[in-house]
Amino acid sequence: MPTGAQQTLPRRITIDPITRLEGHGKIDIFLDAKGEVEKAFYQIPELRGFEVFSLGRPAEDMPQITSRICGVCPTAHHMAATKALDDLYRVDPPPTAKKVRELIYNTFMLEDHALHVYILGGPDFIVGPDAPKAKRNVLGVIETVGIETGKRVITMRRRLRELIAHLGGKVIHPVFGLPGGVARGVSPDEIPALKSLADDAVAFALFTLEVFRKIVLANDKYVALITSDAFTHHTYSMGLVDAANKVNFYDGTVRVTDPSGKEFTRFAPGEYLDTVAEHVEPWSYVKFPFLKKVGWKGFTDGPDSGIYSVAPLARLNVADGMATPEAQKAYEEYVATLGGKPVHHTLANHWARVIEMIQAAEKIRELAADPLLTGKELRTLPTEKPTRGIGIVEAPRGTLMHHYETDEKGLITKANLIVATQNNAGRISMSVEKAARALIHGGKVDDGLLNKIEMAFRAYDPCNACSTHALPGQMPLTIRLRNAAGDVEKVIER
Amino acid sequence: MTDAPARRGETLLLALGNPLMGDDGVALVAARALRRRYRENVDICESPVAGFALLDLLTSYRRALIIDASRTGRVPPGTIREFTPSDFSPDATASPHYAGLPDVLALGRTLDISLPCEIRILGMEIDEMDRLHEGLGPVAAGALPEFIKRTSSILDSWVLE
Repeated sequence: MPTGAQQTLPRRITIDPITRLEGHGKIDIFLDAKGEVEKAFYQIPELRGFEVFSLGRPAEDMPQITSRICGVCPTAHHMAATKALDDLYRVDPPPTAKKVRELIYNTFMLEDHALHVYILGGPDFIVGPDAPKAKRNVLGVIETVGIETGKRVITMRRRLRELIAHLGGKVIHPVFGLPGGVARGVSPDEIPALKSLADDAVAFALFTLEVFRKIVLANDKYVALITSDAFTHHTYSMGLVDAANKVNFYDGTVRVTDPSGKEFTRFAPGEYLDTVAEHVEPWSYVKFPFLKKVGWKGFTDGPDSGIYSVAPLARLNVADGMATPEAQKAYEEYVATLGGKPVHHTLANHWARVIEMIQAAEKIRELAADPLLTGKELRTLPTEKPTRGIGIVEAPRGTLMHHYETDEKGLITKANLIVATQNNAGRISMSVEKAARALIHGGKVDDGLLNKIEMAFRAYDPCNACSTHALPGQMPLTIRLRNAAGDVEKVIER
Repeated sequence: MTDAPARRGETLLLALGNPLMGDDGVALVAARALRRRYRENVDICESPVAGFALLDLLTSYRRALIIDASRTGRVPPGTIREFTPSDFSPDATASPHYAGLPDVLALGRTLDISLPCEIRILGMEIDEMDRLHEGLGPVAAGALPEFIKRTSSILDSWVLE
C-alpha cells in the first residue's frame, strides 16, 4: 500500500463523521496482461431498499423521507420530492409559494457551493495540486486565503443556514414543502433582515470570485492544468434552464446540449424516461445513465457516446447565460478565458461553481425585493386523484430526479430516484480512467495515483451520501486493482 | 427528529446517525431514551450530518459527548468503545478533502471559534447500515441498554460534578 501509515491505528478512524459528508467511493481499475490499464470505473454505491421502503407509504411523506436519505443535500431532495408531489396531484403552487421555495433553494445552493469552494474542493485549487500533502487541507486553505476570509466564510455559511432553518422549519431536514405550496410564508417584517443578508451574500459571492481570480486565474500553471487534456472530456451536458434558456436551479425545462454545444433535446421533467436510460455493467450492479437516443457506446466521449454530464460545468454549457447581471458578467469572462462554449474541462467545474454562487446570491436579493414574496396565498389545494408525479431540480451536484407512482389513495406503488452523482457517473469513470492510464504502467502503481484520481473526481463534488450512510470506520475511497483474470490484486484505501 | 437544540447550555449530547438506515440510527435511539432525564441540564441534538456541520453544532458548548454507530469490522457488532479527539490524529486525515473531527477542532482554534474544551466520543459497532429500513436489528437492540448506560454515565460525571 502506498499509504503506509494506514496500517497504524489512527488510519482506521473508527468514528470520523466526515464520511457522512461524502459517502464511500469505490474505484475499480482493470489491468491487462502487461499491467497496463484496460479500464477503470468509479462506483457510487447503490441505494438499497429505497423502493421497498417507500411502497405503501403516503406520497406526502416523501419530502421528509427522501430528505432523510441524504445528510448532504436534504434540501435538494426535499424540493425534488415536493415538486414531484405537485405533479402527482396536478397542482400549480401560487406565485408566492414558488418564490418562497426559490428563496430557500437559492440560499441552500449558495451555502452548499461555498462549502465546496472553500473547504472540500479548496485544497485542489486554492492550496494547489502541487502543494505538499501537509498543506492540502482546510488549514492550508485558511493559510492561503487568510484568517479574516476564513471567518467570513464560516459566518456567511452560518447565517445562510439560519435562514434555511428559519424559513424551512429545520435546517437539516426542511419541512416547508407541501403539494401545491409551502407550509409558511415570509412576513413583511422579516424583509429588512433578509435584504441585509442578501446584500452581504452578493458581496460574499463576488468576493469569492475575486479570491478565485487572484489565486487560480493569476497562476498560469493552474490555468494550464484546468485546460489540459488530462482533465477534458467532450461529452453531452444536461441541466435545467428557464424560459429564456438561462441557468435555473429550482425549475424549468431540462436541456441537453451535444459536445459541440448545440441543443440536442429538451424535455419537461415528466418526459425524462424518453431521454434517459440506464446501462448496467456486467461486473457491477451500478447503473450508468445515458442518452437513449444516442445509445450506450461504453466509457467514451464524443457525439456518438450517450454519456452526459451534470453539475455546474454542464449547467453553464446548456444555458445561454446566467439569470442575474453580476453572474452573467462572470460567465462571460469564464467563457472568453476558456476559449468559448462549450467548456469540457472538468476542473472548470470549480470556476462554474463560483459563478453559480453569484447567481444564487443575486437571486436571494431579487426575491427579497419582490413584493410577491410576502403574499398570503401559500397553497393550491390538490383536488385531482394522484397517479404519477415527477420532480426535477438542480442539486448542487447536478440534475436530481424523483419519480413516484401511487394508487388512488396516494399510497406509493413505485418510487425511483436518479441522483446527481449517478447522472455524472459515466463521465466521472472516464476521468478516473484517464488519470489511471497516465499513472499505472507495467502493473506498477505510481504513488501520485490517488491524488490525481481524487483531483479528477473531486471537481464534480461527487456525493455518495444518498446511498451510503457513512460508515464511519471506513475510508471514503477504495481502489481495487484487478488483473487480467479479473481477480483483485491490490486494494488501496484512503 | 430534532435539529439543533433550541437553547445553548454548557453540555451537549450530539447523536449522529440516520433513522432510516437501521442500526445506523442506534445513537439517535439512545439519545431519545435520555431526553427526558437530562432535559434540564443537557442539550440533546440528533443529526444525520457531520463533518463541517459539526462546527455549527459544537459551537459555544463547554463539553460535548458525541455518540455514533461505527463499522470497523475489528470488533464484534454490539461492542461499545470510547474515543477522544486525540485518537484521531491529524495524520489520519488521509485525503486532502477528508477532514474529520481534528480538522473541525483545528479550524475552530485557527478562527477563534469557541468549541468545547472537552469532547468525548462513544461508538457502538454495527455490521450493516446501507440498506433502507427502520428499527434496530437484534444485536444493536441488545447492546442498546449498555450504550445508554455508558452515555448516561459520562453525562452524569459532567452534570453532577
